[in-house]
Amino acid sequence: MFELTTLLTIIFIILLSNRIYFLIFKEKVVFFKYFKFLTLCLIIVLTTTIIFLKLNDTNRVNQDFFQSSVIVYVLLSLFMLFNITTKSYESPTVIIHDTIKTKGASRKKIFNILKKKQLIKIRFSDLLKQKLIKKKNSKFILTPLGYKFGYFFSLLKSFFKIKCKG
Amino acid sequence: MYLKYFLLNLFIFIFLLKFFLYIYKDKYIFPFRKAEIANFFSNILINSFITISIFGYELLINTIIINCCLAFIFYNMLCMINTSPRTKILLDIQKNKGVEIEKYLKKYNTKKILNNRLARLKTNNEITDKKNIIKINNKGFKFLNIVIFIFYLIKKI
Repeated sequence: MFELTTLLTIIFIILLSNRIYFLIFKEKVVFFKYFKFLTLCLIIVLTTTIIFLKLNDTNRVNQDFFQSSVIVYVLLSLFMLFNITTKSYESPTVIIHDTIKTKGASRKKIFNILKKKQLIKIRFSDLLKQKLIKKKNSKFILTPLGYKFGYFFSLLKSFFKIKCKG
Repeated sequence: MYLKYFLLNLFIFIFLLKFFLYIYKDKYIFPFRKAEIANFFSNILINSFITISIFGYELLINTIIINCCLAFIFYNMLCMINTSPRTKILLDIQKNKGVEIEKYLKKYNTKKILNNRLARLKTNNEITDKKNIIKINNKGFKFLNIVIFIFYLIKKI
């Protein structure tokens, strides 16, 4: 029962911090900003818990359970981090699905709907906003943060041998 | 002790994912790869067994949640590499040491995105393409509808 209560509390805290983020920053999600916010929440919750345990009887809490709960908290935060990317922009697959779900549609009709959405240009603007790329003369180049992301994804891509089709 | 076990769990997860990707390659039960599904169930089974053996039933829920989160995180990361236009743009800029948008749009554009998505939806007969009309294939059990519903719910959080 205690384990389940802890788990539900963790979920509640994460959902609450998510709500607080959207209350404070009434804007479209900036991935890195959200990541920093979640890290700050994690530090606050962890510090509060440790102080609380120090002030009370710490021996009652199983160390393995404490460690597993911290890992659950971190991973659920990462879960939310990846989840919010679905909030920011409509996926082309969802747009296609919504277009064809009732009567179906021709390839040309779907193409025109997608074209109106300016999928690529919007994503370039988003990457600029996320400070992952910057404009130098007429070219778009990576920022230092963009290099880190690029390096990480390249590493995953080559390790799992995943093709990048877009 | 649990932290050390978690590192082992992570290693098993990554190793098995690599193994299943090697076996199943790029086969889908849309929108998941067969490798991801096989990896998810294998990890739940293996790690539940290990957790019960080492820690008893007390930490079983946490282990299951941890493996569900790992599956979701890795699914998202691999999807970002494979299907996300933003990641493709980022990796293309990295590869070419910068791009000009007008030139780039000749190589990667709406038509290419549409073709990629339709090809992916066709892999598991999620859609039909008859007389140039593309429709949702409602015959049989369709995983896509459930997934779109789940994503709709998650989006509401």
